[in-house]
Amino acid sequence: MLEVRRLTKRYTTVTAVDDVSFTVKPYEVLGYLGPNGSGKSTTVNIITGLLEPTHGEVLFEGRSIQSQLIEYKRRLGYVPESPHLYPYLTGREYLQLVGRLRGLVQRKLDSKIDDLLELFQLGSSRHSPIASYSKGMRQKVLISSALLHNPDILVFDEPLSGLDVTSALVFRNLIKGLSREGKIILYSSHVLEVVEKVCTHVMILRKGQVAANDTVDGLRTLLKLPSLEDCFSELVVDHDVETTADSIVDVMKRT
Amino acid sequence: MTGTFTALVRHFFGRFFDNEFVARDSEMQVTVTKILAMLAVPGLLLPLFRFTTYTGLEGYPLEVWNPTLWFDRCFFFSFSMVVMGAVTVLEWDTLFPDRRDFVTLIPLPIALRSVFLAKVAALALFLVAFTAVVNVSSTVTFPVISMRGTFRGLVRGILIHGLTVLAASAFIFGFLVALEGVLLNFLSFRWFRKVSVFVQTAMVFALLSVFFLFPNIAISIPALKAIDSATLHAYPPAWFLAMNEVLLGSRDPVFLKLAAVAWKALAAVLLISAIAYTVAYRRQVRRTLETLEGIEGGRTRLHAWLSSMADRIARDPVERAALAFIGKTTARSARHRIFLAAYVGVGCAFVLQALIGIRLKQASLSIALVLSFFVLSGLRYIFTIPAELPANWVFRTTESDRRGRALDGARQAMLWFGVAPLFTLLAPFYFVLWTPFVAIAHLLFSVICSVLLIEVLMLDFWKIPFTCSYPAGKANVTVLWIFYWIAFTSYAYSMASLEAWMIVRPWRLLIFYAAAGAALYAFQRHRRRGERVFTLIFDDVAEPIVRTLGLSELGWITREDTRPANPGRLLHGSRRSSASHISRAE
Repeated sequence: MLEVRRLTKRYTTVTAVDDVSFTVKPYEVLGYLGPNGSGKSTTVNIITGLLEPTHGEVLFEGRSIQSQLIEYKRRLGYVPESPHLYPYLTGREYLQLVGRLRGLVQRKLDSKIDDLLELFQLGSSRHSPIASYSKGMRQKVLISSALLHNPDILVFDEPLSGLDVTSALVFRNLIKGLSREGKIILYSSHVLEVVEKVCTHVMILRKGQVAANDTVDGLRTLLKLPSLEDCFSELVVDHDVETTADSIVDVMKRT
Repeated sequence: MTGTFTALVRHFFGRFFDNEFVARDSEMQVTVTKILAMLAVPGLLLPLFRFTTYTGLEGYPLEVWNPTLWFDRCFFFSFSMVVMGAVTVLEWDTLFPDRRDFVTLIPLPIALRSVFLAKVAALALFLVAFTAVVNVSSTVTFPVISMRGTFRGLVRGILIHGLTVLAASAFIFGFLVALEGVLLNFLSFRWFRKVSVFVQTAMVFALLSVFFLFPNIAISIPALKAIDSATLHAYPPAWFLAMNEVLLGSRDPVFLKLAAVAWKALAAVLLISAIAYTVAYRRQVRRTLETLEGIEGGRTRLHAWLSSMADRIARDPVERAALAFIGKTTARSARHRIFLAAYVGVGCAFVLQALIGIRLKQASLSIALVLSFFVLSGLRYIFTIPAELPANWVFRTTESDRRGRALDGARQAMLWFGVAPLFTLLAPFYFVLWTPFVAIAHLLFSVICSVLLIEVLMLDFWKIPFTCSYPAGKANVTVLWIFYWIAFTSYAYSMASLEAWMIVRPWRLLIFYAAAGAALYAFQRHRRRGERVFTLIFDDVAEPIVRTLGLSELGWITREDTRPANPGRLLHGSRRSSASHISRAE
């Protein structure tokens, strides 16, 4: 089980995450939602060990991840929000780099890489440098690199960014498949329809604090609203979106 | 329209300082400012140092003045050409608008002709601005201290010196623009990318050779001129020296001939660059948008062979990951390759000088050590320059308890990408020059010295190459060069003398091998001890503006030392937390 306990992160004067707690168990997919600047990426960076919290802790199987960081990283797969990759490496070379850094045996690694690249329809581009990849192709490389070592915890930060419709459908089913395998999955996204379909639980963050934490059905029942999008609007959106859109048009028309 | 044109020129001029070499952050711009300041220093200081020389020449006839004048003028023209050439090589990818420019500018209602003219104006501005920064002080001060006569004559001398320096810079700048234009016109985009690598590297070598050969040639100008030597005709700074002298009124036949070469060469490169640039520009617009950036061929047999070799060299997966990553980054990142080429170029220039000028017994013995010093120092230097820093998250999230093997990979890279190719190239010469025994003994000695140098250079280097930030001003070059020079001379020349002494009595070599073995063992022990407590560094810190005694930090470490858990972070975590980069970035 992954447990986030009273997590707070401050950057000098700004509190990005304020006293956030939640748990994700095996077989669960937690959708992590919130508007821009709500603290989602900060939480994800702390959970992946890239950042240290100001207060609170992240526990994995009852132990703080800071006390077992290397062991924890070994069991973690991560797809970051921005597809920062080495552009001069080919897709295959990048996956080899990740696999080797994770200590995977070369022969098994090579066949795994080739299979993943074929399944993600990157087989024909595997020897091309990542610089020539589209955003969706880069995303597929990132997803493949997160799955290479059969991790127990998976953290996806906007994983559908740039993916085409077919790949997005494959990915949605992949999440369900991973969940069936007993993986612990944290899914941070802005795409509410997908979160509604693939996540068992949902947590909504607003200005660094927890606005809601429940199952998707539980949240809909609690707020008596038909969709997750309506729940999100109810909890997070604090201004009239139609008026804002009209104002943008007015500014555009100004001479 | 003027406003649009000015904005475009500003944009293109700004792009010269926003590329792979001059990174996007403000820290690198500080470094650029420092480099510009450093480049301006010779022009500022040399006239001051030479003041007493020219004062001492007062009253002597012009024939006595000339050798000194020619030497100094030749220095200024050589320096100006080398600096301009080096900067243009570094700016190779920005001489033409790139994909980013076109994607941004073409959707805007701006005529392609305006974009073209703005780019040309930015190039001209870059040439003039850079030449001015490097030469402005010497253009004024050198004629002031070295010329005698009327005020009008002095002003004329200053204008001619400035014009010649600009002409010399324009020649090398135009030559490189023309070269790139011609390559773009005649090669496919894929081949252009491949050939560019070699052209840039060759130009770095050539420029450094010009600079390091300068003292040998400049000091002999009177003698070379007397026989109308081909050396002067093959040495471009001499053309511009002649141009300067002819403009000042000299009617020396050799200078007249060389000045004519200078004018013709300048006109030719400017004409060719104008035609090649215009034609290549039209092709570039279409090709850049149609060609997928960075696409290169598939996996070749060479790739497969190199991969299998790497598998044999490094058996541990993490070590292999580091070795492959270093090899690919060095081979494919223009910035790293050029800096490495610059180091190797300096080494080659030293060797060239040793071969031409110095006839010492140990000069030939020192060649291997000189080259290995610069190759290995160059590799060590480029290891500290990050490649795609934001992508280093993959190393952060996959850090394992076998991180020490990654550092072994870095040492293996120095051995296999630095020492092995170098000695493979040199070995045949040894067997031609010396007896088999001396050749083998020298080869073994040089390899052992190189391996020891690797250990020294990688001592307490707790980073995976190319993955750690590099703060501006981290290396205080103005002070450190003295230590580098001592280290270089001790390594290259003192060791060569030691070898010359030992090779007379071969049993002395055995003592050396035993001492080297003991040193290697000590290095290995130190490394293994360090591996137990270090964490990889991904975020280097700049030297503090105000240096303290660090007493509070010592107290912190002492307190932390009493904690039982997570010893790795105790020693390094306080100053070099791997998390700090992200926190600062955010």
